[in-house]
Amino acid sequence: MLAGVLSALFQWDVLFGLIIGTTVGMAMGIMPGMGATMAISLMIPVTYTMGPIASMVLLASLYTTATFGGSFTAILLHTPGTSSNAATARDGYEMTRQGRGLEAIGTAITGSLFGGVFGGVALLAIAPLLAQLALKFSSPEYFFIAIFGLTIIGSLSGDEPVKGFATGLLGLAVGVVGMEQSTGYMRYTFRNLNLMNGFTMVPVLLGLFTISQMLVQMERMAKPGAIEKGQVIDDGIKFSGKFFMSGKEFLQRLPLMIRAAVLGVLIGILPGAGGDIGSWVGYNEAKRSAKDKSTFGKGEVLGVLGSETANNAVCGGAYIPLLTLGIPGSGASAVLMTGLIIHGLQPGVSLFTDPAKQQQIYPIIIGYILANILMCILGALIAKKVINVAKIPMNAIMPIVIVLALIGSYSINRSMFDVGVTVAFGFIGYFMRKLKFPTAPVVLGIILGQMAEAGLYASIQMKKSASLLGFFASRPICWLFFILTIASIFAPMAMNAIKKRSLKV
Amino acid sequence: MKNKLHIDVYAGIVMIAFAAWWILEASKFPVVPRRFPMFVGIAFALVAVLIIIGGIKKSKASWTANEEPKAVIQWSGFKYTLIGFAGIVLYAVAINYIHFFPATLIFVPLMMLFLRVRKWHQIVLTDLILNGLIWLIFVYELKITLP
Amino acid sequence: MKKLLVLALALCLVLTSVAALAEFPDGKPIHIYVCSGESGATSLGINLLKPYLEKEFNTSFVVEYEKGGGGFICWLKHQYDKPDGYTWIVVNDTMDFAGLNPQTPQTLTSRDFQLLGCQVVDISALAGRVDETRWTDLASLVEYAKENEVTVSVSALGNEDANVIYLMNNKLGTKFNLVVNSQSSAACIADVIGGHVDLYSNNVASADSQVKQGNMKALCVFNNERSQIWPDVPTFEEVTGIALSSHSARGIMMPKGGDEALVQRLVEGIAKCTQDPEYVKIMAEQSLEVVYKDPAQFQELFDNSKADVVAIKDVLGW
Repeated sequence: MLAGVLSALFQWDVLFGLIIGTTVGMAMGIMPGMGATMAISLMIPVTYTMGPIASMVLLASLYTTATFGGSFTAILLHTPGTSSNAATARDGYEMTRQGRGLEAIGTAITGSLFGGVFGGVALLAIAPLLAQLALKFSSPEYFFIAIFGLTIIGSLSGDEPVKGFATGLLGLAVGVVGMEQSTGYMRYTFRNLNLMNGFTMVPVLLGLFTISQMLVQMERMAKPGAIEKGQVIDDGIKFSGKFFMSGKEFLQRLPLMIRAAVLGVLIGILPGAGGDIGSWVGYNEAKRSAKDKSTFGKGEVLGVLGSETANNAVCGGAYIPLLTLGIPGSGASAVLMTGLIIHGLQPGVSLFTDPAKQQQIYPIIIGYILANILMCILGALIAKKVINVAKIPMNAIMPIVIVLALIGSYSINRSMFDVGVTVAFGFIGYFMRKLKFPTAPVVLGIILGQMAEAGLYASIQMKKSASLLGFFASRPICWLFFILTIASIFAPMAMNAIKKRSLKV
Repeated sequence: MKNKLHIDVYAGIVMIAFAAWWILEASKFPVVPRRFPMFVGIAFALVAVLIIIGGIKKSKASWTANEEPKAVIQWSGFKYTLIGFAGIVLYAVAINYIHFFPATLIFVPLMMLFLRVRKWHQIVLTDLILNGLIWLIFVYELKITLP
Repeated sequence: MKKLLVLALALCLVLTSVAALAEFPDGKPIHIYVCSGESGATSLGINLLKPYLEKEFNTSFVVEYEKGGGGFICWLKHQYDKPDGYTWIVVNDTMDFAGLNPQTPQTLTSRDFQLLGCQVVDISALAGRVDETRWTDLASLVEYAKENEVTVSVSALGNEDANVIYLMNNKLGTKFNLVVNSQSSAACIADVIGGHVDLYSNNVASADSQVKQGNMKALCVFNNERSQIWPDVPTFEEVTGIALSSHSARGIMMPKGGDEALVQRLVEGIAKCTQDPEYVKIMAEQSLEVVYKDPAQFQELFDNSKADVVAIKDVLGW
């Protein structure tokens, strides 16, 4: 069988699909506002004339590479290319400002490669098993996952946790805007059609992260003589330092990468959770397990590693319910599913058990794994060229970034309203930064707030005549996340208390 | 000078105002849709109070040290940012009225001049290359209708 | 000099009138604005139709997505575009009744546009788990649901999937309860297959993939005749004796006021492409039922859909 799979894989059209998918995916991921979903839907017509394996390898490559490509602009320009790169932007950009941008990109490449391959291997080895696990999750579980996720906000707050909670609550508020799921009631929309489905994520991100960054930079430039004396930060940064991590560092960081990849795959499997959550979970895992947490947010390379490993593992994870159950684990994989059906590959467990179908599906999965490797090579090749972008004086590059951010914001829904949202959140984000309110919790608040409320109300609808608490108590996975939440909140306090006591003695 | 408050106090006041408006709007909703926004609004107000308290503490600390509380926003720098922001807003509005490419062709050099880029060739090249690339990728290749 | 000027002017006039007489679309791309996102059945139907349209009209088609506001953002945005045949807009039949919801009032209707033709009528359906023991078919389900609560997964409120459940309760006295999972219809399907929710209310296209895999069982379709995708599945009327029709119809329209000859050309071209046997076949593979309707029939469909919803406004709480 292996011989058959390999011979099916190494055909000219398949390799062609691999190369096209990887390069186009990289380009689309880098452009703000473009994402994997758009890339896949644009390229599907291109695949009509190609065979099934070649087409699916092309689309699969697009998916993983677009997710990776966004990390470039996230690291170099604080402009997340897709919403799953927002966590990378946090420490990645700080690293660029410290002249360690090359290391950040190298780390992102390593993490993405590891996560992507891990996801692909999980897919090959235990897809049907993991799919069954995915089915055990529903709204009650998502509610508890969301609550657990909200405790991560505490860890993103730096020195003043109260301010972190404030912005987290702001995120919850932003997430409330729009139609309430269980009753269809419109909240805070003021009859504006554009707000019926709430704020779109990427415009908010581009405002909070990118435009606010531009405004902060402007203020720095206002100091008399700042530019002339070359005191503007980032003006002509010298890029020193390494690119890829050493073998020793790789081994040291391997446990983190494995954990982040596992988390990413699990999140990818869940149809209710997306890649943007994956990157934050990976980031948080890196921080949680670090000895010195204070470096996070200030250019900690492990933060970049955690988020990039997890968000590429999500791609592999999203394939699992897609291929085994025909249930796409994300928007992008939903479009992929149409590609599968167009080429006669009906999703279902039989893809993995029927020998005739195995001859088609296994080359596709291996092709996906190869795409990750190719992506890594391509990334490494262009990284040293792309990094020069950060060397361009800030005042020359800022207008470009502003234009790209606005156009990226526009292209999601072809809407000028979204452009307005970006500009408005840019202003809000600027004040937040000046007043030392962290911006990252807003993003989590939006995603998790919606998940928590929707999960809670759907649980109320699902429980029939049982009591709500009884309903939750009957579900083991809810217990798991409940305990994790308690642990997450109280463990640090308990640890501190124990430390103090042992110091007294 | 002595009685200057830390900026966190002002931030907290703005937050409370927002929370008040938020809660007022939420009180108009029916029961089920009202619950979560109410929770968020009340929690936000409580956190705002904590921030105001923290701000007062910081102000007092700086009074005892006989320093001015560190003004986080200097007017001179802020003025500059405000003008830059106004430029961005005008650009967004302009896109709506005179369409994307004319607006961008004008915005880029103006913003670069504002940011004190002095090399003329840099300005012209950037403007042309940026617009050219956007046209190539978005309009020609992807065929997206820009505003 | 004067003579030269006059000659040049005359030449310009001739050239522009020649250009004006040139055959539509004259190589210029036609834009199709889809009122929903890239990953949905509507987008799929259009993207599969695109190659046929390109061949028929001998020009390129550009598909653009403008989702939001239940489709109204797209429709309002292009309402006053030039009716020159280069702007096509995808429409679904919720347009005429979604605006009746007091929370999202809209006065825009299909009569504010020029309808060009209907492509797809996706019939509403009800499906459940294969291993369900409490009922085996629609008849036993209805009996069970009269005495016991049964949960139904839908991806949104206010559209035909939810409305048909309200109607069932209204006409049969059943206790169906909606569980809304607005994440995606994939999440709804996962809820049902995973045993968390009892039934799935959506249209045939959405449920068919699961039925084909043997994860779900189709219980009925809400239509006056059986679906061509599911010829063995009974209609609601066959089992209960009560007529209940629900569907999602999608088609193409353009801004009002176009030249009659141009509109005729477009209608004919779209009719030809939509009814192309190849297109019908690949759509069926995606579980999408192609049902062509010309502008007059399409308008009738809009009117009927609206009348159905007006009749149950009280039940919906509108």
